[in-house]
Amino acid sequence: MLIKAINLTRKFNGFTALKDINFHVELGEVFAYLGPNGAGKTTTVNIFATLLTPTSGKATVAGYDVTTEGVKIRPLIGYVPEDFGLYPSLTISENLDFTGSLYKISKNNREGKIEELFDFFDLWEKKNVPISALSKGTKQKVNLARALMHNPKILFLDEPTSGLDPLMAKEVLNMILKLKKENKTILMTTHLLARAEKVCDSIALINKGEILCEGKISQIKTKLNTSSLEDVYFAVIGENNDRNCRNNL
Amino acid sequence: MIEIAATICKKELKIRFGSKRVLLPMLFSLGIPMLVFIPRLLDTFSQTEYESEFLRFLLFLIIPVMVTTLVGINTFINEIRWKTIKLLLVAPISENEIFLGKSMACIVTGLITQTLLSGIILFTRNSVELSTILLLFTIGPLSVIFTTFIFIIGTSRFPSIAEGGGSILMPMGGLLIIFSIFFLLMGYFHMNMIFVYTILALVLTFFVYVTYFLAKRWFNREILVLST
Repeated sequence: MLIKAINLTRKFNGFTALKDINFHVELGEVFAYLGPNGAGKTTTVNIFATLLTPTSGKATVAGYDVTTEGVKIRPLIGYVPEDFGLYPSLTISENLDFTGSLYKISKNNREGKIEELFDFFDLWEKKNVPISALSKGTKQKVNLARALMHNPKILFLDEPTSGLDPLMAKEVLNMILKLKKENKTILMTTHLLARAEKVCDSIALINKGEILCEGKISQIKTKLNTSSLEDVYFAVIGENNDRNCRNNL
Repeated sequence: MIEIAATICKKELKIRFGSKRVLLPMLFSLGIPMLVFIPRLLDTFSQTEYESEFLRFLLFLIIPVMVTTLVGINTFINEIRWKTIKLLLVAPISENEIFLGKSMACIVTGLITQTLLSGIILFTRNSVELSTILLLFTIGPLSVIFTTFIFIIGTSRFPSIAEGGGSILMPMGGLLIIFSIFFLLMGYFHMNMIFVYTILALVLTFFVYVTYFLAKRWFNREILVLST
Protein backbone atom coordinates (compact mmCIF):
# COMPACT_ATOMS: atom_id res chain seq x y z
CA MET A 1 0.00 0.00 0.00
CA LEU A 2 1.49 3.30 -1.09
CA ILE A 3 -0.69 5.69 0.88
CA LYS A 4 -2.20 4.70 4.17
CA ALA A 5 -4.21 6.45 6.89
CA ILE A 6 -4.58 4.64 10.22
CA ASN A 7 -6.95 6.18 12.78
CA LEU A 8 -5.86 9.57 11.48
CA THR A 9 -7.14 12.48 13.55
CA ARG A 10 -6.46 16.18 13.21
CA LYS A 11 -7.79 18.86 15.52
CA PHE A 12 -7.58 22.64 15.15
CA ASN A 13 -8.06 24.52 18.44
CA GLY A 14 -10.65 22.06 19.70
CA PHE A 15 -12.35 21.59 16.31
CA THR A 16 -11.93 18.06 14.98
CA ALA A 17 -11.31 18.24 11.24
CA LEU A 18 -10.55 14.51 10.88
CA LYS A 19 -11.87 11.78 13.18
CA ASP A 20 -10.06 8.43 13.18
CA ILE A 21 -10.03 8.03 9.44
CA ASN A 22 -8.73 4.87 7.78
CA PHE A 23 -8.12 4.22 4.09
CA HIS A 24 -5.38 3.07 1.76
CA VAL A 25 -4.33 3.60 -1.83
CA GLU A 26 -2.57 0.90 -3.82
CA LEU A 27 0.34 1.39 -6.21
CA GLY A 28 -0.75 2.77 -9.61
CA GLU A 29 -4.27 3.49 -8.37
CA VAL A 30 -6.26 6.69 -8.87
CA PHE A 31 -8.12 7.34 -5.66
CA ALA A 32 -10.89 9.95 -5.41
CA TYR A 33 -11.45 11.55 -2.07
CA LEU A 34 -14.98 12.89 -2.19
CA GLY A 35 -17.08 14.96 0.15
CA PRO A 36 -18.80 18.32 0.60
CA ASN A 37 -16.93 21.55 1.34
CA GLY A 38 -15.36 21.56 4.79
CA ALA A 39 -15.49 17.75 5.05
CA GLY A 40 -11.74 17.46 5.75
CA LYS A 41 -10.44 16.64 2.26
CA THR A 42 -7.79 19.38 2.08
CA THR A 43 -6.65 18.67 5.65
CA THR A 44 -6.08 15.03 4.68
CA VAL A 45 -4.17 15.98 1.53
CA ASN A 46 -2.09 18.50 3.50
CA ILE A 47 -1.17 15.80 6.02
CA PHE A 48 -0.05 13.40 3.28
CA ALA A 49 1.86 16.20 1.57
CA THR A 50 3.76 16.69 4.89
CA LEU A 51 2.36 20.21 5.29
CA LEU A 52 0.44 19.40 8.48
CA THR A 53 1.03 16.81 11.17
CA PRO A 54 -1.71 14.55 12.55
CA THR A 55 -2.93 15.13 16.11
CA SER A 56 -3.11 11.35 16.55
CA GLY A 57 -3.06 8.25 14.41
CA LYS A 58 -0.68 7.58 11.57
CA ALA A 59 -0.32 8.53 7.92
CA THR A 60 2.26 6.88 5.70
CA VAL A 61 3.41 7.48 2.14
CA ALA A 62 5.50 4.74 0.50
CA GLY A 63 5.95 3.26 3.96
CA TYR A 64 7.35 6.48 5.46
CA ASP A 65 5.63 8.19 8.35
CA VAL A 66 4.55 11.76 7.48
CA THR A 67 5.35 13.02 10.98
CA THR A 68 8.87 11.70 11.33
CA GLU A 69 10.02 10.95 7.78
CA GLY A 70 8.79 13.95 5.80
CA VAL A 71 12.27 14.42 4.34
CA LYS A 72 12.07 11.01 2.65
CA ILE A 73 8.49 11.56 1.44
CA ARG A 74 8.92 14.98 -0.22
CA PRO A 75 11.08 13.89 -3.19
CA LEU A 76 8.55 11.12 -3.97
CA ILE A 77 5.42 13.25 -4.15
CA GLY A 78 3.95 15.91 -6.39
CA TYR A 79 1.41 18.24 -4.87
CA VAL A 80 -1.20 20.31 -6.70
CA PRO A 81 -2.97 22.75 -4.40
CA GLU A 82 -6.48 23.96 -5.12
CA ASP A 83 -5.44 27.57 -5.58
CA PHE A 84 -2.60 27.20 -8.11
CA GLY A 85 0.34 28.48 -6.06
CA LEU A 86 2.32 29.94 -8.94
CA TYR A 87 4.40 33.13 -9.03
CA PRO A 88 2.24 35.52 -11.08
CA SER A 89 5.03 37.77 -12.37
CA LEU A 90 7.21 34.87 -13.54
CA THR A 91 6.61 33.11 -16.86
CA ILE A 92 5.58 29.45 -17.18
CA SER A 93 9.20 28.50 -17.96
CA GLU A 94 10.53 30.47 -15.00
CA ASN A 95 8.01 28.90 -12.62
CA LEU A 96 8.91 25.39 -13.79
CA ASP A 97 12.62 26.13 -13.76
CA PHE A 98 12.44 27.45 -10.20
CA THR A 99 10.56 24.33 -9.07
CA GLY A 100 13.15 22.14 -10.77
CA SER A 101 15.98 23.91 -8.98
CA LEU A 102 14.25 23.32 -5.62
CA TYR A 103 14.42 19.60 -6.42
CA LYS A 104 18.13 20.00 -7.26
CA ILE A 105 17.63 18.99 -10.90
CA SER A 106 20.62 20.04 -13.02
CA LYS A 107 20.18 22.94 -15.50
CA ASN A 108 20.34 20.63 -18.56
CA ASN A 109 17.89 18.13 -17.12
CA ARG A 110 15.55 20.96 -16.10
CA GLU A 111 15.48 22.28 -19.66
CA GLY A 112 14.77 18.80 -21.02
CA LYS A 113 12.01 18.18 -18.49
CA ILE A 114 10.38 21.57 -19.18
CA GLU A 115 10.28 20.76 -22.91
CA GLU A 116 8.77 17.36 -22.14
CA LEU A 117 6.09 18.97 -19.97
CA PHE A 118 5.35 21.63 -22.60
CA ASP A 119 4.67 18.76 -25.02
CA PHE A 120 2.58 16.79 -22.54
CA PHE A 121 0.39 19.75 -21.52
CA ASP A 122 0.50 21.53 -24.88
CA LEU A 123 1.94 24.73 -23.41
CA TRP A 124 4.49 25.72 -26.09
CA GLU A 125 2.54 28.77 -27.28
CA LYS A 126 2.52 30.29 -23.81
CA LYS A 127 6.04 29.38 -22.81
CA ASN A 128 7.12 32.94 -22.01
CA VAL A 129 3.79 34.34 -20.85
CA PRO A 130 3.63 35.48 -17.20
CA ILE A 131 1.27 33.42 -15.06
CA SER A 132 -0.85 36.52 -14.31
CA ALA A 133 -1.83 36.68 -18.00
CA LEU A 134 -3.04 33.07 -18.24
CA SER A 135 -6.57 31.69 -18.06
CA LYS A 136 -7.60 29.56 -15.06
CA GLY A 137 -7.47 26.40 -17.15
CA THR A 138 -3.94 27.06 -18.39
CA LYS A 139 -2.85 27.94 -14.85
CA GLN A 140 -4.14 24.57 -13.71
CA LYS A 141 -2.16 22.84 -16.47
CA VAL A 142 0.97 24.70 -15.32
CA ASN A 143 0.13 23.73 -11.75
CA LEU A 144 0.04 20.07 -12.79
CA ALA A 145 3.19 20.46 -14.88
CA ARG A 146 4.99 22.02 -11.92
CA ALA A 147 4.05 19.06 -9.72
CA LEU A 148 5.54 16.69 -12.32
CA MET A 149 8.88 18.51 -12.72
CA HIS A 150 10.75 15.98 -10.57
CA ASN A 151 8.86 12.99 -12.00
CA PRO A 152 7.16 11.93 -8.76
CA LYS A 153 5.60 8.49 -8.40
CA ILE A 154 2.77 9.78 -6.19
CA LEU A 155 0.51 12.77 -6.84
CA PHE A 156 -1.79 14.60 -4.47
CA LEU A 157 -4.28 16.72 -6.38
CA ASP A 158 -6.51 19.00 -4.35
CA GLU A 159 -9.57 19.93 -6.44
CA PRO A 160 -7.69 19.94 -9.76
CA THR A 161 -10.88 20.86 -11.64
CA SER A 162 -12.15 23.52 -9.24
CA GLY A 163 -13.33 26.70 -10.97
CA LEU A 164 -12.71 25.35 -14.47
CA ASP A 165 -15.28 25.38 -17.25
CA PRO A 166 -16.56 21.90 -18.26
CA LEU A 167 -14.30 21.66 -21.32
CA MET A 168 -11.17 22.60 -19.43
CA ALA A 169 -12.17 20.34 -16.51
CA LYS A 170 -12.52 17.48 -18.99
CA GLU A 171 -9.11 18.29 -20.45
CA VAL A 172 -7.50 18.29 -16.99
CA LEU A 173 -9.15 14.97 -16.13
CA ASN A 174 -7.88 13.55 -19.44
CA MET A 175 -4.39 14.64 -18.38
CA ILE A 176 -4.90 12.74 -15.13
CA LEU A 177 -5.94 9.72 -17.16
CA LYS A 178 -2.70 10.05 -19.15
CA LEU A 179 -0.76 10.17 -15.86
CA LYS A 180 -2.57 7.05 -14.70
CA LYS A 181 -1.32 5.27 -17.82
CA GLU A 182 2.20 6.26 -16.74
CA ASN A 183 1.55 4.23 -13.58
CA LYS A 184 1.40 7.22 -11.22
CA THR A 185 -0.42 6.73 -7.94
CA ILE A 186 -2.89 9.58 -7.56
CA LEU A 187 -4.99 10.77 -4.66
CA MET A 188 -7.36 13.50 -5.78
CA THR A 189 -10.24 15.43 -4.34
CA THR A 190 -12.98 16.51 -6.71
CA HIS A 191 -16.62 17.45 -7.06
CA LEU A 192 -16.94 16.20 -10.64
CA LEU A 193 -18.40 12.81 -9.83
CA ALA A 194 -19.30 11.67 -13.33
CA ARG A 195 -15.80 12.38 -14.66
CA ALA A 196 -14.14 11.03 -11.52
CA GLU A 197 -15.93 7.74 -12.08
CA LYS A 198 -14.18 7.39 -15.44
CA VAL A 199 -10.76 8.24 -14.06
CA CYS A 200 -10.69 6.67 -10.60
CA ASP A 201 -10.37 3.10 -9.36
CA SER A 202 -11.28 3.60 -5.71
CA ILE A 203 -12.97 6.24 -3.62
CA ALA A 204 -13.50 7.35 -0.05
CA LEU A 205 -16.49 9.46 0.92
CA ILE A 206 -15.83 11.83 3.78
CA ASN A 207 -18.25 14.08 5.64
CA LYS A 208 -17.60 16.17 8.75
CA GLY A 209 -14.18 14.57 9.22
CA GLU A 210 -15.42 10.97 9.11
CA ILE A 211 -15.03 8.45 6.32
CA LEU A 212 -18.47 7.06 5.56
CA CYS A 213 -17.54 4.62 2.84
CA GLU A 214 -14.33 3.46 1.16
CA GLY A 215 -13.33 0.93 -1.48
CA LYS A 216 -13.44 0.06 -5.19
CA ILE A 217 -16.11 2.01 -7.07
CA SER A 218 -17.65 -1.13 -8.58
CA GLN A 219 -17.91 -2.86 -5.20
CA ILE A 220 -19.50 0.17 -3.55
CA LYS A 221 -22.02 0.54 -6.36
CA THR A 222 -22.98 -3.13 -6.05
CA LYS A 223 -23.21 -2.92 -2.27
CA LEU A 224 -25.45 0.15 -2.36
CA ASN A 225 -27.31 -1.04 -5.44
CA THR A 226 -26.67 2.20 -7.32
CA SER A 227 -25.76 2.76 -10.95
CA SER A 228 -23.45 5.75 -10.71
CA LEU A 229 -20.94 7.41 -8.41
CA GLU A 230 -23.30 10.37 -8.18
CA ASP A 231 -25.99 8.08 -6.73
CA VAL A 232 -23.45 6.65 -4.29
CA TYR A 233 -22.49 10.18 -3.21
CA PHE A 234 -26.06 11.30 -2.64
CA ALA A 235 -27.03 8.07 -0.92
CA VAL A 236 -24.09 8.13 1.51
CA ILE A 237 -23.55 11.86 2.12
CA GLY A 238 -27.26 12.68 1.91
CA GLU A 239 -28.18 9.97 4.42
CA ASN A 240 -25.38 11.08 6.75
CA ASN A 241 -26.54 14.71 6.60
CA ASP A 242 -30.18 13.67 7.16
CA ARG A 243 -29.21 11.58 10.16
CA ASN A 244 -27.17 14.46 11.61
CA CYS A 245 -30.10 16.82 11.05
CA ARG A 246 -32.45 14.42 12.79
CA ASN A 247 -30.00 14.00 15.69
CA ASN A 248 -29.72 17.76 16.01
CA LEU A 249 -33.50 18.12 16.06
CA MET B 1 21.92 24.55 1.88
CA ILE B 2 23.52 27.69 0.46
CA GLU B 3 22.73 26.60 -3.11
CA ILE B 4 18.98 26.35 -2.44
CA ALA B 5 18.98 29.54 -0.35
CA ALA B 6 20.74 31.33 -3.23
CA THR B 7 18.11 29.99 -5.69
CA ILE B 8 15.29 31.33 -3.51
CA CYS B 9 17.13 34.64 -3.05
CA LYS B 10 17.62 34.93 -6.84
CA LYS B 11 13.93 34.25 -7.44
CA GLU B 12 12.97 36.93 -4.90
CA LEU B 13 15.23 39.50 -6.54
CA LYS B 14 13.88 38.55 -9.97
CA ILE B 15 10.31 39.09 -8.79
CA ARG B 16 11.30 42.41 -7.15
CA PHE B 17 13.58 43.85 -9.82
CA GLY B 18 12.76 41.76 -12.89
CA SER B 19 9.91 43.86 -14.17
CA LYS B 20 9.95 47.55 -15.11
CA ARG B 21 6.45 47.86 -13.66
CA VAL B 22 7.88 47.15 -10.21
CA LEU B 23 11.37 48.55 -10.63
CA LEU B 24 10.48 52.04 -11.90
CA PRO B 25 8.14 53.05 -9.04
CA MET B 26 10.70 51.60 -6.63
CA LEU B 27 13.55 53.65 -8.10
CA PHE B 28 11.33 56.73 -8.09
CA SER B 29 10.25 56.29 -4.48
CA LEU B 30 13.85 55.70 -3.39
CA GLY B 31 15.56 58.18 -5.73
CA ILE B 32 13.86 61.33 -4.44
CA PRO B 33 14.62 60.76 -0.73
CA MET B 34 18.17 59.73 -1.65
CA LEU B 35 18.74 62.93 -3.60
CA VAL B 36 17.67 64.90 -0.54
CA PHE B 37 19.21 62.70 2.16
CA ILE B 38 22.68 61.93 0.76
CA PRO B 39 23.98 65.55 0.46
CA ARG B 40 22.58 66.32 3.91
CA LEU B 41 24.22 63.15 5.30
CA LEU B 42 27.61 64.18 3.84
CA ASP B 43 27.22 67.64 5.43
CA THR B 44 26.79 66.12 8.88
CA PHE B 45 30.26 64.55 8.75
CA SER B 46 31.88 67.99 8.70
CA GLN B 47 29.84 69.14 11.72
CA THR B 48 30.42 68.17 15.34
CA GLU B 49 27.30 69.47 17.08
CA TYR B 50 25.04 67.22 19.11
CA GLU B 51 22.22 67.49 16.53
CA SER B 52 24.54 66.55 13.66
CA GLU B 53 25.41 63.27 15.37
CA PHE B 54 21.71 62.42 15.55
CA LEU B 55 21.06 63.47 11.99
CA ARG B 56 24.07 61.50 10.68
CA PHE B 57 22.91 58.39 12.52
CA LEU B 58 19.33 58.75 11.32
CA LEU B 59 20.13 59.50 7.66
CA PHE B 60 22.76 56.77 7.39
CA LEU B 61 20.42 54.07 8.66
CA ILE B 62 17.16 55.14 7.07
CA ILE B 63 18.18 54.68 3.42
CA PRO B 64 19.34 51.02 3.59
CA VAL B 65 16.39 50.12 5.84
CA MET B 66 14.05 51.72 3.28
CA VAL B 67 15.60 49.56 0.53
CA THR B 68 15.36 46.45 2.73
CA THR B 69 11.70 47.26 3.41
CA LEU B 70 10.91 47.75 -0.27
CA VAL B 71 12.45 44.38 -1.13
CA GLY B 72 11.08 42.56 1.87
CA ILE B 73 7.63 44.12 1.96
CA ASN B 74 6.17 41.41 -0.25
CA THR B 75 8.83 38.73 0.02
CA PHE B 76 7.09 36.95 2.85
CA ILE B 77 3.52 38.13 2.59
CA ASN B 78 3.24 37.37 -1.16
CA GLU B 79 4.29 33.80 -0.54
CA ILE B 80 1.24 33.48 1.72
CA ARG B 81 -1.03 35.58 -0.53
CA TRP B 82 -0.13 33.59 -3.68
CA LYS B 83 -0.24 30.29 -1.72
CA THR B 84 3.22 29.51 -3.08
CA ILE B 85 4.57 28.88 0.41
CA LYS B 86 2.99 25.40 0.29
CA LEU B 87 5.01 24.58 -2.81
CA LEU B 88 8.23 25.58 -1.11
CA LEU B 89 7.32 23.55 1.97
CA VAL B 90 6.40 20.46 -0.03
CA ALA B 91 9.77 20.50 -1.86
CA PRO B 92 12.65 18.49 -0.37
CA ILE B 93 14.18 21.56 1.26
CA SER B 94 14.17 22.62 4.88
CA GLU B 95 12.38 25.58 6.44
CA ASN B 96 15.88 26.87 7.27
CA GLU B 97 16.79 27.03 3.57
CA ILE B 98 13.60 28.93 2.76
CA PHE B 99 14.19 31.25 5.71
CA LEU B 100 17.80 31.83 4.71
CA GLY B 101 16.97 32.46 1.04
CA LYS B 102 14.30 34.99 1.82
CA SER B 103 16.36 36.74 4.50
CA MET B 104 19.29 36.87 2.10
CA ALA B 105 17.23 38.73 -0.52
CA CYS B 106 16.38 41.45 2.01
CA ILE B 107 19.76 41.62 3.73
CA VAL B 108 21.86 41.53 0.55
CA THR B 109 20.04 44.47 -1.05
CA GLY B 110 20.19 46.44 2.20
CA LEU B 111 23.91 45.74 2.55
CA ILE B 112 24.63 46.64 -1.09
CA THR B 113 22.90 50.00 -0.55
CA GLN B 114 24.84 50.50 2.65
CA THR B 115 28.15 49.65 0.96
CA LEU B 116 27.43 52.17 -1.81
CA LEU B 117 26.52 54.79 0.77
CA SER B 118 29.65 54.02 2.82
CA GLY B 119 31.72 54.26 -0.37
CA ILE B 120 30.33 57.74 -1.09
CA ILE B 121 31.02 58.83 2.51
CA LEU B 122 34.59 57.47 2.53
CA PHE B 123 35.30 58.91 -0.91
CA THR B 124 34.26 62.41 0.13
CA ARG B 125 36.13 62.46 3.46
CA ASN B 126 39.80 63.38 3.85
CA SER B 127 40.20 61.54 7.13
CA VAL B 128 37.97 58.94 8.74
CA GLU B 129 37.44 58.70 12.51
CA LEU B 130 37.07 55.36 14.32
CA SER B 131 33.50 56.28 15.26
CA THR B 132 32.63 56.66 11.55
CA ILE B 133 34.15 53.24 10.81
CA LEU B 134 32.03 51.76 13.61
CA LEU B 135 28.91 53.41 12.21
CA LEU B 136 29.53 52.34 8.62
CA PHE B 137 30.74 48.80 9.18
CA THR B 138 29.06 47.55 12.34
CA ILE B 139 25.97 49.59 13.25
CA GLY B 140 24.81 49.85 9.61
CA PRO B 141 24.92 46.13 8.69
CA LEU B 142 23.59 45.07 12.09
CA SER B 143 20.64 47.46 11.71
CA VAL B 144 19.77 46.02 8.28
CA ILE B 145 19.91 42.45 9.63
CA PHE B 146 17.95 43.35 12.78
CA THR B 147 15.16 45.11 10.87
CA THR B 148 14.95 42.20 8.41
CA PHE B 149 14.39 39.72 11.24
CA ILE B 150 11.82 42.04 12.86
CA PHE B 151 10.11 42.02 9.49
CA ILE B 152 10.12 38.21 9.23
CA ILE B 153 8.78 37.83 12.76
CA GLY B 154 5.97 40.28 12.00
CA THR B 155 4.92 38.76 8.69
CA SER B 156 5.13 35.11 9.70
CA ARG B 157 3.54 35.59 13.11
CA PHE B 158 0.94 38.21 12.21
CA PRO B 159 0.29 37.79 8.48
CA SER B 160 -3.08 39.54 8.58
CA ILE B 161 -1.56 42.66 10.17
CA ALA B 162 1.30 42.58 7.68
CA GLU B 163 -1.10 42.27 4.78
CA GLY B 164 -3.15 45.18 6.09
CA GLY B 165 -0.19 47.53 5.66
CA GLY B 166 1.59 46.70 8.89
CA SER B 167 4.53 45.28 6.96
CA ILE B 168 5.83 48.81 6.34
CA LEU B 169 5.63 49.67 10.01
CA MET B 170 7.50 46.56 11.19
CA PRO B 171 11.04 47.51 10.02
CA MET B 172 10.31 51.11 10.98
CA GLY B 173 9.52 49.79 14.46
CA GLY B 174 12.95 48.13 14.43
CA LEU B 175 14.56 51.45 13.48
CA LEU B 176 12.69 53.23 16.28
CA ILE B 177 14.11 50.72 18.79
CA ILE B 178 17.64 51.42 17.48
CA PHE B 179 17.11 55.21 17.63
CA SER B 180 15.75 55.01 21.18
CA ILE B 181 18.81 53.07 22.38
CA PHE B 182 21.06 55.52 20.53
CA PHE B 183 19.41 58.49 22.30
CA LEU B 184 19.80 56.79 25.67
CA LEU B 185 23.48 55.99 25.06
CA MET B 186 24.20 59.50 23.77
CA GLY B 187 22.84 60.93 27.00
CA TYR B 188 24.75 58.44 29.13
CA PHE B 189 28.15 58.65 27.41
CA HIS B 190 27.97 62.41 26.68
CA MET B 191 28.73 62.15 22.98
CA ASN B 192 31.74 59.88 23.29
CA MET B 193 30.84 58.37 19.94
CA ILE B 194 33.31 55.46 20.10
CA PHE B 195 31.71 54.28 23.33
CA VAL B 196 28.20 54.96 22.06
CA TYR B 197 28.72 52.97 18.84
CA THR B 198 30.60 50.12 20.57
CA ILE B 199 27.88 49.60 23.17
CA LEU B 200 25.19 49.99 20.50
CA ALA B 201 26.93 47.39 18.33
CA LEU B 202 26.94 44.95 21.25
CA VAL B 203 23.28 45.62 22.01
CA LEU B 204 22.39 45.20 18.32
CA THR B 205 24.34 41.92 18.10
CA PHE B 206 22.27 40.64 21.01
CA PHE B 207 19.04 41.86 19.35
CA VAL B 208 20.03 40.24 16.05
CA TYR B 209 20.60 36.94 17.86
CA VAL B 210 17.25 37.10 19.71
CA THR B 211 15.24 38.16 16.64
CA TYR B 212 16.99 35.52 14.49
CA PHE B 213 16.07 32.87 17.05
CA LEU B 214 12.43 34.03 17.22
CA ALA B 215 12.11 34.51 13.44
CA LYS B 216 13.42 30.99 12.80
CA ARG B 217 11.18 29.53 15.46
CA TRP B 218 8.07 31.19 14.03
CA PHE B 219 9.01 30.41 10.45
CA ASN B 220 7.27 27.15 11.10
CA ARG B 221 5.65 24.73 8.62
CA GLU B 222 2.27 24.55 10.36
CA ILE B 223 2.03 28.28 11.13
CA LEU B 224 2.82 29.11 7.50
CA VAL B 225 0.42 26.52 6.03
CA LEU B 226 -2.43 27.57 8.30
CA SER B 227 -1.93 31.24 7.48
CA THR B 228 -2.65 30.61 3.75
